[in-house]
Amino acid sequence: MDWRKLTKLFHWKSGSIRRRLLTWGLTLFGLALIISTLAGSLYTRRLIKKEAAGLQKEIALRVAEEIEDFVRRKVDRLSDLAASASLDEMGSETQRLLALLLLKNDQAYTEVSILDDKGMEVVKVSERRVYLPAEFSDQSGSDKFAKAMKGESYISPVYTSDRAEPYITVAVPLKITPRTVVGVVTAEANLKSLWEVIGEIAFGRAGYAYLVDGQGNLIAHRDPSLVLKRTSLAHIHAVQEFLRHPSGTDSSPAQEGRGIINKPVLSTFVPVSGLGWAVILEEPVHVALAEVRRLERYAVLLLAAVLLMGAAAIVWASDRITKPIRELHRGAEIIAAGDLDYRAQIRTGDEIEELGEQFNRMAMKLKTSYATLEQRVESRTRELSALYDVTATASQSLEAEQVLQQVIKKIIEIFGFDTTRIFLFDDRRESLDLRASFETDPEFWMQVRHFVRGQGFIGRVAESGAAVVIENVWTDPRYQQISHTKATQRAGLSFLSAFPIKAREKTLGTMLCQGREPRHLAPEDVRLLTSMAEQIGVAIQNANLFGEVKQKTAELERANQELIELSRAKSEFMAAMSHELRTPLNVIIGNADLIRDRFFGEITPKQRDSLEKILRYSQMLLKLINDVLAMTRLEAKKMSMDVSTFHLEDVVDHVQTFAEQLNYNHNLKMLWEVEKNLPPITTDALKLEEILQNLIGNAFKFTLQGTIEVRVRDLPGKGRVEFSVADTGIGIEREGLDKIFDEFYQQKDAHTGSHSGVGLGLSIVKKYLEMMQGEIRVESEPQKGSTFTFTFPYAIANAK
Amino acid sequence: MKKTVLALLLGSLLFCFASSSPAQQKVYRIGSLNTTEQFLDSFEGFKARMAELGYHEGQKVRYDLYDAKGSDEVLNGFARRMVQDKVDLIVTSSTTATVAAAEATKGTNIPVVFLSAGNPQKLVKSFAGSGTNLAGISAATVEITGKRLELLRELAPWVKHIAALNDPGSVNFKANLNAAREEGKRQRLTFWEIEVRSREEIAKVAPTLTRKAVDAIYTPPDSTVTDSIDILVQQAIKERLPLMTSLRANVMRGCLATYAADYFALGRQGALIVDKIFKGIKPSDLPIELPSKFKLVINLKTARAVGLKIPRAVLVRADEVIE
Repeated sequence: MDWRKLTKLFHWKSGSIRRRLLTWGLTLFGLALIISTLAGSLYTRRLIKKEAAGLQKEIALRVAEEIEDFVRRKVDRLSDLAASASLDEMGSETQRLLALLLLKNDQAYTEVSILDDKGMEVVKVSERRVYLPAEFSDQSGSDKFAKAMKGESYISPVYTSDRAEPYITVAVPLKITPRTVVGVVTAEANLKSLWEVIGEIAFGRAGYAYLVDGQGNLIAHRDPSLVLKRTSLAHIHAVQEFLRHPSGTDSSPAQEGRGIINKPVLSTFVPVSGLGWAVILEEPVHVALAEVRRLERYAVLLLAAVLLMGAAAIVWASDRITKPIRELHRGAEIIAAGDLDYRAQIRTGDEIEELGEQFNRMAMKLKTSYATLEQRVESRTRELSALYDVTATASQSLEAEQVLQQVIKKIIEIFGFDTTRIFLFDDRRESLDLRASFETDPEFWMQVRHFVRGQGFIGRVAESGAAVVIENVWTDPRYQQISHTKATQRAGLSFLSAFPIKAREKTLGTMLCQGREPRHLAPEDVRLLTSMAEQIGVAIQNANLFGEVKQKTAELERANQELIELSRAKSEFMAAMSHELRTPLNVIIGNADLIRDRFFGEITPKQRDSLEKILRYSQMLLKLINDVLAMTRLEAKKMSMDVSTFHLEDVVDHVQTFAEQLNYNHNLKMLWEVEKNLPPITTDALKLEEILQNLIGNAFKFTLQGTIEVRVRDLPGKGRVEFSVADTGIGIEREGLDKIFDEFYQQKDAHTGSHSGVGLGLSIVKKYLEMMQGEIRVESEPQKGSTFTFTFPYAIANAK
Repeated sequence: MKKTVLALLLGSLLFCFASSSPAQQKVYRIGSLNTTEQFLDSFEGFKARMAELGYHEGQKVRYDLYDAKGSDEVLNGFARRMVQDKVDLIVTSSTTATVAAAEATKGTNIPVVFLSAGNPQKLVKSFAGSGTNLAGISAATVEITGKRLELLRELAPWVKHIAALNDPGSVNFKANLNAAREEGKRQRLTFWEIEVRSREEIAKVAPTLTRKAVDAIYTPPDSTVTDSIDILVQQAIKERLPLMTSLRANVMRGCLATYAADYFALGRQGALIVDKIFKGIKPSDLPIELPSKFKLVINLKTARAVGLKIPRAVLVRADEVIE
């Protein structure tokens, strides 16, 4: 056997037909077999229970009769003794001998007594002990005496003696005539033989019997220990049935319930008539129904075998069904992989073969469709390629004439026209002029170079914006109607087509294509030529725009050059002017200072006041000039950095002196908070000093009362130092904060009073800080004050 | 899915085959421990009844018989050997043998069934169940001492003073003594209590048992005395003394009479107990049974030899008369 083939037969994947068939087939098969097995099992079970019921009842009846017969015989024996003893004197030796003979002859009796009519024992013999007359007792109060004296037999309930065996007491009347009772004969009968009878009962494979009395107490069982424990069995199903119907028979023998061994049993009871006892028969269910279990096991075996065979049959059948389907599946995979010539070979002669044929037809159609599609794709690719070529050519240059010539060349290459000509509107859009062309007969075509708007094919297409294609000018009447020059015919050409050249919905001109032979243009060719004409439009527009931009750029360059020249002249003028202004102003300040300091003799207070004013305003003017000069130098990029390494404390000292001068009248409180151990700084010390002077000067300028606070602290994590100058002055409006560092920007009211200036100080500060690789920011609130904070590095980057 | 289906099918097959294999039949090994051959009757009865119950020797049961012939030492050795041999059950036929077997099987679960124990109260907790590995039948020999004395009085009404021989080393010595004393008191009899420990002592004391000294001789159930009963029989006949014994076998050997259990029947009764144990009932749960029947056995030859006429009232009650 080819094992690989066999395993392949059983190989299936999730959701496959084979798997479904197997699942459903085995499920249905299995269900049918399980139902049939269950039905068979139930039927057999009922049959066995029925047979067990019959057997149990039969045995129980026999045993009950045996017990009844046993007891009856005991009573008869005693009655015989009573009859014999009645002939002798009460308590005589003969009576004693008769009693002893009963003990000898009947093993069940162990003790016999004869009572007189008063209930007094007159004879008492036992097989085990000796009773002396002195030990005889009065039994007149006993039940046995009372009942026997009435002429009836008495049978006591079962009891066990001190030797652990069951006994009953039997008493019969001792009569001298049928109606005259002169005494009672009573005896103790050992029921051990009943134990033997009950214990020996065995039926089925594990059936057993036991005997219960009228209270449901066990009186005989093969296990005597249960009897000796005086076990009450009133809870057991069969005993309960007996107690409910003490003299009736079991209406449903072999009923299932808990037995004496506390396991499910089939049980039946039969009463022992006249004694109030019942014989109970039990057989453990698992033993009684062992045969059913065996049958069930065989059924399971059969089920497994049938399922195995069924599985094999289903696998074989499913393989027959799925093989052509798998062939189709394989075919589909081959076709999907690209082999459109593949045809499925299915010869099953059923619906699947039809499906295979359909599949093959479908493959054939697919092949045809694919070929057509390929052609289309090829054509479209060619179109796109051509369009790309034209577009690429059109975008290669911004020179219109050059672009048009190149495009015409491409179109000729692609379509093989004999003549291609491009006409564009003139500036007034009244006529169309030839701008580029390819002709086989240039001399002839030299005559046809201009068209009026709306004239001939060229003019009409340019005006309408719609293309015109005439396959054969000799046969198409439109040619005769539209053509103005009839040049096409005159040139001996047959084919004519004209396409509008458009850009942004505006027609710029017309492209004319002509051929010697009549020609049919496919829609995709028309679409392609239209697209090409549009690309020509875009290229022309780009060329136009390029020309305009080029012109504007040249103009701007000229203007810019002029502005640069003007700016340089302005800066030079400003520098020269500032220098020239500063020199006489210094002279004025110097002389005024000398006069005020009485260098030239005493002066009057009024003169002094005037001199103070001259000096203050001169200083202001000098500052303005210095600022203008500095700004001019900054703009002219003539300002350089004088970098050195210094201690900030030195700069702060100078600035403190400057501030003290400003606060000569001590109107404001000046606070300094400078951190100890600041690192040495490498930057332009003079510019730093100038920055601080500017900021402190501004603070004084805009603060009438309150404090000015200068703080200096180290930012070691950033490698920078931070300065802040805070005042309690007029503050800055929110909208002014963004412009505060602009040149010539001044706050409102800054032109009045002591706030005068030109608005260059903060601009210079910012520019200096930029040179020092620093930053500045401002926080301010109107009428509360402003804080200028700036930072710069320990050393500027190019300091080395 | 595929593996599960196959596993279920194979599992079902294995289950079906495994559950239908037959069980092997067990052969029980029973050891029989005896003090003297006097008690072997019970073992014979036991074997006979066992066979009737389906325990055929060699097929379903195997017997190892040990007879100590009156030696306590040998008896204990046999008991230990049976335990070493791991017998399935031990049957004994006297109180002495049962005591030895009980001692040897302590700590094991080997059941011991005594086919005849004269005084089972020495061995078990109560008649309702031993509570140990012991079960069996009481021969009630001590218990029916009164019946024997009553029988002696019926056979020889003049008897007042009786010689009673007893081995003080016997397990039932005290019980026998007490029973005789008690019943003697009730029935107005007196005893000459003679302690004997061996055949030699019995032989020595026998000549003293004369008609002048006693009215009768009584032998309780005692192995030492039983082993030497022939000496006492000879002396009784010589002195024309009625000799009441406690074993049927002794009557066969010349004693006048006895009232005792039938040991063969006891053996048969014991087979039923063993059957119950083999069927799963614990020995501790089984009640101590009594003999189904006591037998009155009279030896008429001996009666004639001692010049005794057996009363008719006794004769008709006799179960066995030896002539």
